Amino acid sequence: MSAVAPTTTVAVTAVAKWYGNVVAVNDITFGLEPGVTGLLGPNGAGKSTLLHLVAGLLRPSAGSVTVDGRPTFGDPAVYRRVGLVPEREAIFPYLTAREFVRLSAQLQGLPFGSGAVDRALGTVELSNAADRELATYSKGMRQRAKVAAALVHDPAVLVLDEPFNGMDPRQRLHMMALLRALADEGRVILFSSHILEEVERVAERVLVVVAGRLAASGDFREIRRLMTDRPHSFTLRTSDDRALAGRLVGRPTVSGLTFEDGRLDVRTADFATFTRELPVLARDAGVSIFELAPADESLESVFDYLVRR
Amino acid sequence: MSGGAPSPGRAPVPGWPAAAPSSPPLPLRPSAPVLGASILGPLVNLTMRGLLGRRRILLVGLLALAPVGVAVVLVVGGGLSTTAQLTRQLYDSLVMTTIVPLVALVLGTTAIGAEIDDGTVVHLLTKPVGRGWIVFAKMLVAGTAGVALCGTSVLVAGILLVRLDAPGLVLGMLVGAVVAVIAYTAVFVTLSVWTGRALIAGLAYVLLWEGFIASFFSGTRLLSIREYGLAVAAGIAGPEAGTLARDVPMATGLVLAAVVTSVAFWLGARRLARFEVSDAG
Repeated sequence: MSAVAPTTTVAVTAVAKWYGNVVAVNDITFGLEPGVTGLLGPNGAGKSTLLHLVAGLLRPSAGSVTVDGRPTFGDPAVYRRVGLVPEREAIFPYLTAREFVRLSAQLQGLPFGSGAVDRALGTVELSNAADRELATYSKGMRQRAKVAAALVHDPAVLVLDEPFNGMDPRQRLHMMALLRALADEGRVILFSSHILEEVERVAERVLVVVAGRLAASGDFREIRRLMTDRPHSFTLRTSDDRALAGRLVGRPTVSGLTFEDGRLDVRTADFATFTRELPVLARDAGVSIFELAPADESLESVFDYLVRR
Repeated sequence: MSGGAPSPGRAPVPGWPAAAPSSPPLPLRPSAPVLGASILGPLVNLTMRGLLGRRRILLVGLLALAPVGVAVVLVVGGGLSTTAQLTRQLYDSLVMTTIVPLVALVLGTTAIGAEIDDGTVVHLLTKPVGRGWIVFAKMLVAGTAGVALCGTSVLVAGILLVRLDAPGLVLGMLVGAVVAVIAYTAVFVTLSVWTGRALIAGLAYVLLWEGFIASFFSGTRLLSIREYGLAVAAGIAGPEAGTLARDVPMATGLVLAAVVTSVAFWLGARRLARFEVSDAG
């Protein structure tokens, strides 16, 4: 695939989207440049709505979304520059993958026999299965077929809604490598995910959306630090809760501790040091740890913390 | 006709409206590189496969052929002398009241409504394709399928019943059904772009408006696609029209059918150009 030039920019300015009384997206502003940007947030946070706004499939209730200065909504010409991989598994089940990607090429006005179809299928490693009907495809394969269809015209902006859903680990790694490679060619890649590790692995920049608002944005390491520096709680089950608790109480990293019903709850303000210290303390006390579970490690609690900051 | 809209001269469907609008109302800058007629082929191909791939097309086929079944029963069963009058009644009260609108309703709402329902329409909307062409392709395929089904049915049933004794009547019925099915499908395609409940809205129009209100108040007949079709049928049948004869002259019926079809196309293209894909999450 050829490098994309000149630099394409996406600008989202004070965008809001509401349906009647329900606010899906509230006053969000950000800009996108070539590279991979991850859109992170819990389910129902408005990620899909935001991506649909960027892709010109929804009209902003307020604010504006532009690609290279042109509003994306109501202008089919924008799809010369933009490709969208929707989350919904909606495909034409009666088409083969090749037909599906060819349809996309035709509707993009690509000349017949330009090789774009084969190239796109090869990029997502579907060449061997390309002549099977999409109805027979697994979820991950359908996902890749949709990516091929969105890539066939070499778009400068690629928007993907939960692209890793339904993929096995190998496909996931391949898709991550693909997104990186596409970004290295100078493309603007924006993808959504509710899984922190996915975003961490592939995105250079992160937008965190919670309840329709932009809770944080910027470099991933910065956001990661915000997320790991917050107070953490762990629940432990050990051979001797009382003995371990005695040792833990003396440590500066431990900010709180309760034990009851054969269960030890520990709060720490320094996640990294605590996780290094705990095994040493347990060994020294001759205590076996049967179970160590983060008590509040759900992504929602991470987002809650970010929003409250 | 300047780039963009379907021109009546190219109409592959007999009776396709004479007055197709001159260009789809798209909010495009003149330089916008949006594709036009060149993508009609792929769009038509896709729509055809989508329509034929769904089981409901079989149902529509059976529905459309019901008049032939009735004709066969009448001819074979009774030995009763099937008259032109019986044929007119069958046409008036079965074909034009039920068969043609329902066939058009299912075809019209399936052509694009099903894609909107299952979300596949996104794959069409995220292309630099003039929205008018998407609507036109849908109407073309649904209309052609409707014409093929209803046309065949009326022709075969008509010939079975009156043989070649009343060729004018058969031809009139054929053209009347064709005109009606084209106007109906155009309206129902547009209806499914405007509302997710196109099937209900379409049924309400056919059963309540045309079936009930329009049959009581003669003034509302000018707002009934069924009446346009019957006016055309009666006009062509001439003296053989008998009880099919209408107050509405054939020319008026034709013009109004063309206007309804064109307005439906225009509204459909306009709506699709501002279409919002709701995808909560």
